[in-house]
Amino acid sequence: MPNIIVFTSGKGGVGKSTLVANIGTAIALYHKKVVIIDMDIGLRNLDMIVGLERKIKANIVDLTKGLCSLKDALVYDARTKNKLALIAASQSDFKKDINLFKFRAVLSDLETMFDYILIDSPAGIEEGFNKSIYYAKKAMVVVNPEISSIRDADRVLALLENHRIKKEISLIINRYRKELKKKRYYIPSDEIIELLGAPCIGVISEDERVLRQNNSGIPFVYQSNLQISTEIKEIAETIIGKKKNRITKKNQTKSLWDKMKKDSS
Amino acid sequence: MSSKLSNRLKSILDEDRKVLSKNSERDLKKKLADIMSSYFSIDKRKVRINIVKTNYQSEYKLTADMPIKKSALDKEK
Repeated sequence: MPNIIVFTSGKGGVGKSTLVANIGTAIALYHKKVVIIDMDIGLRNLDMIVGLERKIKANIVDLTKGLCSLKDALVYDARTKNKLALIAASQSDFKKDINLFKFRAVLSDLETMFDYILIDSPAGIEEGFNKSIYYAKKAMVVVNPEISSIRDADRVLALLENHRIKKEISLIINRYRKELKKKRYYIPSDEIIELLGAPCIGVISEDERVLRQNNSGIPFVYQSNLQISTEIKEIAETIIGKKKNRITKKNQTKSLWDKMKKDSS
Repeated sequence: MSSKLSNRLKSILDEDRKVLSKNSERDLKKKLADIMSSYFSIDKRKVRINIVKTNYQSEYKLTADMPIKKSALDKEK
C-alpha cells in the first residue's frame, strides 16, 4: 500500500518544502518511486527547489479540475532516473479551487504509480492545510527550535490527532544547532520532543548551504559529503523501512518503528 | 535551556491546550465549589480549576485548587 505522507507545520518558513524536496529525492535515490505534490496553491515553490520549474506544463488545480491528464501534470526528475516526480501547485488559483473528492481520485491514480506520495502542505491551519492532510496516512510535523514554531506545531499536532482519518504522526526538528544546545536561550531537541509529546523521526542541522542549494535548484541531498544530507537520508531510510528510527523517545520507538516496518513490508 | 525559558514554553502550551471556554470554566468551577461546599467550608473566590491536554494523544487532566477555610477544618475535628 503506497504511503501518503503530509509535511506540515502550522508556522511558515520552517523548511517544509526544502525537506519534502530533499527527502523525496533521497527516497528516489533508493530506487523507490516517489511523487511530491506542492499544495501551496497560489504560492508555489517546490518546483524551484527541485529545479524542475521550466518543465511545468500543468498543475494540481488543473488536474483536479479535469483540465489536463496526469501525464501532463507529472514532471519527472531525470537526475533520479525518473524515480522522482513532481506535481506543481498552481500560481494563479486559490486553495478553494481544489475539490477534495477529485483530489482523492488523483491520489488513487498516483497510488497505482508510486511507492510514496509526499504532500507539501501550505503554512497555516486553514483550507490548504485541511485539504493537504485530509487523505494522508502519515504526517510529519516540521518544527524549528524556537517557541513560536513549537507552539504552532503543538496546535497542528492536536488538529492531526483529532482528524477523522487517523494518522501516524512524527516530528522533524529542522534547523537545529547542536553547538547551542547548552545555551540558556536555546531549546534542545529532547526538550522539544518532551514538550510536544510526539515521536521524532529526525533532527536536521542548520546549514547555510541549504540556501545555496535551494537557489540553484539542486537538492542538497545530492552532496553526500554534507552532514545534512546524511540526516535527510536517515529520515528517508526510516520512511522506506531500511533503518530503525534512533531519535524518537524510548517509550515510543517501538510502536512507531513497528508501524513503519509493517507498512513497508 | 534555562528553567525560565522552559517554564515560559510550558505555560504557553498549557494555556493553548486548555479545552474549556471561559464561560464553561466559570460554570464548572461554580458547580464544583457548590458540591465541595456540602463537605467543607471553602473560599469560593479562590477556587482554581485547570483542564489541560497532557500530550498530543488526547489525554486530559483536571486539577482543582480549592482552599478550605481553617475554621471549617477545626469544626470538623
